[in-house]
Amino acid sequence: MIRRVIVAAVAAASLASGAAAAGPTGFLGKVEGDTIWSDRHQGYPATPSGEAKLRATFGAPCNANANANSYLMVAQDDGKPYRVNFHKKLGGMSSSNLDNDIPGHMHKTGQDAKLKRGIWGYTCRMKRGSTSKYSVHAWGVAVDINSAYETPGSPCRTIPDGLGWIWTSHNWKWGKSWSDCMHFQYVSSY
Amino acid sequence: MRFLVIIAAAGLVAGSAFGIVARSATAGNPRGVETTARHDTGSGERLLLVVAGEYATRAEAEAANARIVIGDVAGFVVAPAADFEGLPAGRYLVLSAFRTVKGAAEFEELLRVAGNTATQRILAVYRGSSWIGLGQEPNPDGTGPLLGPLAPGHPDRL
Repeated sequence: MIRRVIVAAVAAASLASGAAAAGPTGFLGKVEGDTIWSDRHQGYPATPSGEAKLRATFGAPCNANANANSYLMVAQDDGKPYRVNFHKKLGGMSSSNLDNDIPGHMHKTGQDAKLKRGIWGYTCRMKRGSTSKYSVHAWGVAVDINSAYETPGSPCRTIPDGLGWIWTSHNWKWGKSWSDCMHFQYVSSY
Repeated sequence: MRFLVIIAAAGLVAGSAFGIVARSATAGNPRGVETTARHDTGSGERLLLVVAGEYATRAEAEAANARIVIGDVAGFVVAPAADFEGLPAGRYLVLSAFRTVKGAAEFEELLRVAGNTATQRILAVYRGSSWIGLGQEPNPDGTGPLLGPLAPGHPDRL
């Protein structure tokens, strides 16, 4: 009986592994090619609150670290990979947050099938309507997904709660709370 | 030979002029550390414009600009073409200005990813005084946004 359970587990792992390796629906980062993905939860910085703590944690907007990491997300509607650039402290050697844990969870649960075109992370821009206040994207701690389908100020159209939950359970804030469904950020009160 | 001398002299004059601009624009911010971009207009500088369109009236340009949405980040601004040397009066541009090619390219990539407008690049000297999007590109030294002119001779200077 125990042997049968182990065999089943190994078979399931192989299937999962095969799906990830074949993966037009998966991420092209660390997850793809892993034999068995694991959720590491390592090196997460505390989610800062407010601009002063945002700067204290991640530095100045548009600094070199804000753009130090990247991975590719594949949109399911156009089949194209979109490069998401993000802060050094949220991936790579510093943390497992944004290039292992979140994409791994999305792939494992099939939520990556809900990703659609218009996906980006870091960009050195101000907030819309401002000439002096930088967007959280300028720190590389914000990601927009499905932006071709979501409109700021309107309810979510294409991003289900299951997908949003993966981000919020990894210390991110979801713009759904303030009617910006496409938007996720690793800071509150900014 | 005489031609080369003239070019060299013109270069020195232009370099001096840009030097004055550089010193005045960064006087309160000698290390280029980000403070605020509100008063960083780039007047007198040669800038790279990423232009989304030109229109006969400001109202038309503003309406076109309002239709360009890039999530919650700033897109373009509207400025009279006559504010730039060599561009015709009586037209209005929907644009964002940059001091480096890399800054312009990053913005164009964002526009492409966001499924937005096709754009054109124009290199022109700005003689206006309103904010035209400067401060939204990384300083090549990696410290933060570029908030003033790069020094004459800097490899990324336009």
